[in-house]
Amino acid sequence: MAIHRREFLRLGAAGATLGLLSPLFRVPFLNQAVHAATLGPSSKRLIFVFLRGGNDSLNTVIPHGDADYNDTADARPTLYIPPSESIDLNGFCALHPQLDKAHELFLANELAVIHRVAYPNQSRSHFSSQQYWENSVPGDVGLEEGWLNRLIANHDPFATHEFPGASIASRVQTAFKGDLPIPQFSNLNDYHLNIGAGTAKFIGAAPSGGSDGSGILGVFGATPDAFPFDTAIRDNGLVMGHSLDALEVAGVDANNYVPGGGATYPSSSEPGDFVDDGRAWTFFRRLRNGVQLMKEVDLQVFGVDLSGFDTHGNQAGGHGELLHGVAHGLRSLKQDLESSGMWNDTVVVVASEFGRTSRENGNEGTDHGEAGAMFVAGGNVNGGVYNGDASTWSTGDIYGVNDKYLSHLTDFRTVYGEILTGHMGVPTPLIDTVVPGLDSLTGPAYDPVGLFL
Amino acid sequence: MTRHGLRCLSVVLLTLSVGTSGTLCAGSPAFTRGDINADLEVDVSDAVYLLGHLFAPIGTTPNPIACADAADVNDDESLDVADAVNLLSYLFIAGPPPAAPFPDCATDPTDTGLLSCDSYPTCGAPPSALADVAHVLRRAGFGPTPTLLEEVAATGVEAYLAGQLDGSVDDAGNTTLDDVMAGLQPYEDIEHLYRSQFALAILSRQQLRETLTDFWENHFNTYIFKIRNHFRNLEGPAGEDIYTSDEGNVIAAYLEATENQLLRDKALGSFHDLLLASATGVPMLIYLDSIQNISADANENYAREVLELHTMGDDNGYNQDDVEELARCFTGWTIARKAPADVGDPLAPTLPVTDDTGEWSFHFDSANHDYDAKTIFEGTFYQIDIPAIDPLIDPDAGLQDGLIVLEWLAKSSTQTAEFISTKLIQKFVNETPPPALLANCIGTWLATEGDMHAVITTILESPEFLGTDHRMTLVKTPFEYMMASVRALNDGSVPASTITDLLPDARNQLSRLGNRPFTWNDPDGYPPFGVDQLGTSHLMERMRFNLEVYFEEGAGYGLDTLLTTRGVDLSSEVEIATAILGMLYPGLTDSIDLELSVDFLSRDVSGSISPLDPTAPDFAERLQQFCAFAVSFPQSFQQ
Repeated sequence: MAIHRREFLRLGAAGATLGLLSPLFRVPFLNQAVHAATLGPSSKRLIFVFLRGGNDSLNTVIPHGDADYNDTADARPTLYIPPSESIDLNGFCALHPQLDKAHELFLANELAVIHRVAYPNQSRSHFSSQQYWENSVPGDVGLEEGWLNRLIANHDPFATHEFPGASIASRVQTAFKGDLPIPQFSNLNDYHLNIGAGTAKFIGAAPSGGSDGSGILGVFGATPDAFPFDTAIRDNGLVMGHSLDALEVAGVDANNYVPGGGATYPSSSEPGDFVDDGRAWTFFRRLRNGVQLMKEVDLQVFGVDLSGFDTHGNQAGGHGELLHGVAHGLRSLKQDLESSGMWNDTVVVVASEFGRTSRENGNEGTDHGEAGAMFVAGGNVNGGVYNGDASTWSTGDIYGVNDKYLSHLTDFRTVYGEILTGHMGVPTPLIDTVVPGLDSLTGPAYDPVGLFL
Repeated sequence: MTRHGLRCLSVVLLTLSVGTSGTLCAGSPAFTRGDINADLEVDVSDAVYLLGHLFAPIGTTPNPIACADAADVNDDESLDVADAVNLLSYLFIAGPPPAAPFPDCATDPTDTGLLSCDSYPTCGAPPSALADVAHVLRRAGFGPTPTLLEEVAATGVEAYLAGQLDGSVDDAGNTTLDDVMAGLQPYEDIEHLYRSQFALAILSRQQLRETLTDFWENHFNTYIFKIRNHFRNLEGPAGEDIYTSDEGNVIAAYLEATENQLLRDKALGSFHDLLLASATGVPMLIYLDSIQNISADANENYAREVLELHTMGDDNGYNQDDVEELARCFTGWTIARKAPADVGDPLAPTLPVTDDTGEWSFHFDSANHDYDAKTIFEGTFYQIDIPAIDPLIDPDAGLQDGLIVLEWLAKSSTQTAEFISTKLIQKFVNETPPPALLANCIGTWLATEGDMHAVITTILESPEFLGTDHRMTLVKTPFEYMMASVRALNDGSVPASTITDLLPDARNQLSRLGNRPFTWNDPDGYPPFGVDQLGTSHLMERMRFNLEVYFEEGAGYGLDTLLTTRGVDLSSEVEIATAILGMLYPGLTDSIDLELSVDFLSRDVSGSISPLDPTAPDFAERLQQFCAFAVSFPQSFQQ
């Protein structure tokens, strides 16, 4: 790459003179921009939902086909969910009853349920395992660079997008961290400087064409000092200023967004089934913010978190509510995006850092475990159950690791790779950049499961 | 050859980086005797320059001397060759130094008026001196104020730190702080508890103590709403509620405020006292489930966290067996209502839960203590054996089990010394502790049985802290950032009413950033490093707060007076920009920062070019808008 993509942040208007770039913060690599001019922009969307805390996969996608799961006294005396109370998928696995809204997607063949997903040498630390799922390099806990950052930074068709990605979370998710600063919105409804007159002067303009610019963009766009965090601060300041500008120009009004297709995003004022559930309201608000940005500023990729899955005690008291939120969110995404013709170009990935112990503990909860269950949803996803039938699962597999944990059959990086290839249209050589080393990984865990026909 | 850097004790030094001449000094300017060519250095070129003044060849112009006093090296009120000889002998053959003022820049202490000093370059310290001061104030407190920067420049950072460490600096007569605190009831109202933390951080002279209070509060984190909910849900014998919802708020505020004040009082005391304040405080006893830890069903929550988070550090010299054994030591530790005189005495009799005269206190419930023998750290050289006790003979002795282990952990555990020293160095110096400094701290800790005054002095007097290697290597947490913003241009004249108005803004902004004090759910405390909180929204929220402080509420700051008392011409965009940047970021700005500041000041509030006019009606608003802008520079995020 002749010019680092980030350098363009500081050369915005110089790029604009090439006729390729917006004067805002759209700042591709030069060669990406050239390719993009011939390839055209991407229409493929990706939504990454991370369930923080370690979702109990066995009570999410319930393996009644494994007789050991049904051995209630040994496995789950209080947490067992019988077939009669769950939603059967294929005679072997069933969904948690609170996932009924997600089942609607399953029936439409738009929800892939992939069980037993993990990676070798499973870490049972929340922090480490989240790092691995997001930086996509298991074992490199210090790598603060996410797979979605690499996707956005390197996939040519994104080069002409104003807003290729956003981390809609309380902090930048590791999946979006990296050299290319990605906007982070904890609350789009309240993303403004709250001063009215004077905003434009305060934000100013980035340096360009021999001018030092003005205002915040001028100051943050100046050459960084050698202090270790100065560059990151300046880059994020530029993204902040540009995004405030761009949202203003596009007229994005998050407080008055009207979803389509009958979708609802429950909130304190319209809680629906989610009364007194602030955590769910925040989750739905962030999904709604993301969809609005997809519709109004052509956002391509965004990430959202839902936390609370670390169910060491009294799991039954909260796990179902959380899953209910996940399912409601999935259905609303489908409804809202379908109504604007975007659902067939969208993939929603739901992941968590690990599953939980197959036996419940003494506090009616479960502890950190191993293989998890992923959901991949979208209009063109080949729905169904993967790794969850008699041909793939033997009784006792729930104790396949250390006699405690569900063993994995598919590496999460395989799923990422299938999405990148089958959905995003990422060319093969780039896959290995986005998911480092995937090319050289061999074995059954790296065989595609068939998410896209 | 430079013999001395020049130092200035004068407040006008804030304008040094303007690079203008010394016309800002009132009366005869300060100077350094011996600096004859006025280049701010005393060296051989000064002697040569003087000779070129005294003995200019015919037909050439003698070297001009604008400050004759500076050239009068021997202070005999005449300029002659003896001055050059004196200087040369000082420089080369250890002769006597020039007369005062030397080596520090100052006005002439013996000014007879025979010779004069008409002008001299802006007198004072080189930028590094103010940069040194600003660094110390950022790290060992919540950042500089213009006044503090000047005061500490005059007294030196060593003296300032000594006053912070030995407690000789206090808040007696701090009327603004008194006035703000008078309007707050932190012991009765959770919102006021938040605000009191802000008021103290912004206004207290005991900046080191306040920053350590923030550190210890976060180190021994408790979640105020778990405390509140405990009391809201508490039932009397007949299943009746004991407290209303509002009363639950009040009692949670009271208990958290009590714990917080203990941590503040002991912030520079022994770590053992700090640990006990936490361990036996009602909030921690509730928060980490000690109140459910009984011999019949030990709860490991506190035992695990006291090892992992409060003392030894994660997986640092203990294992799961030790957690379980230690949990047994703490069985019976609970809370109860006691007569006010008995509060804090775990062995004093209890009152019924419904007795309103009783206050909540640490209590040792011998009926729920496990009196069997315990072995902690089994097989290590620091194994602790706690023998079985016969509860029929001495039930109260069971209280000692937990206290014995806490004392060892606080005073004698190398692991604790390592873990807490590491955290302190990470706060004051660098996320990656310099190994030599860490070793010194651990040595100091073990020699003093965990005396925080000694350990923190070791850090603050170290070359690693005082030197330049680790400056601007840390990112401010949201709390540190907002407190520093409010302080940044407060010269001490901002009235209590303005500070009071800003406190709810600080609370709301910190809430949006997920950093409101006392409300972190998990026992690990708020992320200590601000670096993980630098996303787009985080920067936007910080700037929005700066705008609230200076653009919206800036009238209370008296910004024009702040500048005019420092000799700044209010019609000069350059002088204003230079002075403000000098107060905010001494030694840390460059010409582009100055240029963009001047550009900002050269526009009206909505951005149209318009010369700054101190008599125009929009002047105050423009100045306030500029200060909000200047306070938001990239430098403001780092320390």
